[in-house]
Amino acid sequence: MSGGSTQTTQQVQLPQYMEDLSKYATEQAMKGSQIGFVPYIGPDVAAFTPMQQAAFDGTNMAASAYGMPTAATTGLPQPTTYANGMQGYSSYPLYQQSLASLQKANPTQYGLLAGYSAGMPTK
Amino acid sequence: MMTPTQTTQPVMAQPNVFGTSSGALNTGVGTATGVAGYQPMMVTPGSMNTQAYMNPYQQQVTDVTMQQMADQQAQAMNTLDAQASAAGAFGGSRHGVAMGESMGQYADAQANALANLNYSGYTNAQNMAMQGALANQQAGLAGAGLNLNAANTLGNLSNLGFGQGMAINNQQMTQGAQIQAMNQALIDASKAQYAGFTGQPAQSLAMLLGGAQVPTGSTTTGSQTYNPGLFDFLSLGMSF
Repeated sequence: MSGGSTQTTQQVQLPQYMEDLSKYATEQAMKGSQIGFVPYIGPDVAAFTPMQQAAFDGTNMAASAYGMPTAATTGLPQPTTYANGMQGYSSYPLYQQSLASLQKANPTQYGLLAGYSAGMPTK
Repeated sequence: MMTPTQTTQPVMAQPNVFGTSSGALNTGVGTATGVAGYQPMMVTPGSMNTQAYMNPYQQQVTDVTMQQMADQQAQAMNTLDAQASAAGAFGGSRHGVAMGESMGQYADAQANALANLNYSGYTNAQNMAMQGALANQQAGLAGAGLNLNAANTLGNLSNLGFGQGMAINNQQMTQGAQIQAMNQALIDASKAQYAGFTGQPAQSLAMLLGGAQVPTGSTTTGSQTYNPGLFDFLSLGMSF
């Protein structure tokens, strides 16, 4: 059949190693997206040191000697002792409590958010 | 390792400095209050016990003096009698007048002597009583001054003790804060490493995406035979 024409086209042709790299990167991105939010469970704030506690006690002794009110404790919770003996406070329990409050107050939102975070506590 | 609730105890049995300071303050205030209410002894004639200072031997002194004057009077009377006898006038009226005159003079002299003795005795007692009262007044004032000085000293010692205690307290607070800051730095460092671990997937992906950029000049050119169909003719017609 006569009357045909020839059309010239251009197409991008990636090298094979680039295709492999793109595919690998996509796979890694998909895996990474499934990790979700990873909370930090370790200490956030260093606890008061024994020297500071001694100073607090001294202040209380001074106040008591002069008939002024004293504070039996700092009002802080008992600190956690970590592997190296250091004592500190972690925000993780408060974070868990906030999640539980959200789950109770708005379970739908919580469920949607939890879907993005594989490691998210279910409680 | 000590827990935050443990504190080191003083090596020696040193009393609580704040207790000592507050005790000194209270004692000083009490002492100063006492001094403020101090009323010095008023030295008035009525307040002096003059009788206590009277010479306990006053009567003996008076008696001896009167006795001596009586003896002198007797001797004078004897002399007068002798003179009257020598003049042959003993027992006469002139002798009697002379005796009466002499006795009267001695009576006056005795009365004057007695009055002077009593006066000097009482005046001496008054002076002694006055000196004693003034001495007591000065002793009272001196005591009040000592008490006031003691109150001032106690106040100063109270300030000194409180200041020393607070200085130590502040030093402990400063050193404790330095230790806490080091602990916080360790926590922050560990958190940074943890963030590096948990952020590694994103970091790796970013590196992969950076390496997967499409390089320029990778286009290829090709040709192919194309047989136009009905729609190609229609579109060709519409272009005119």
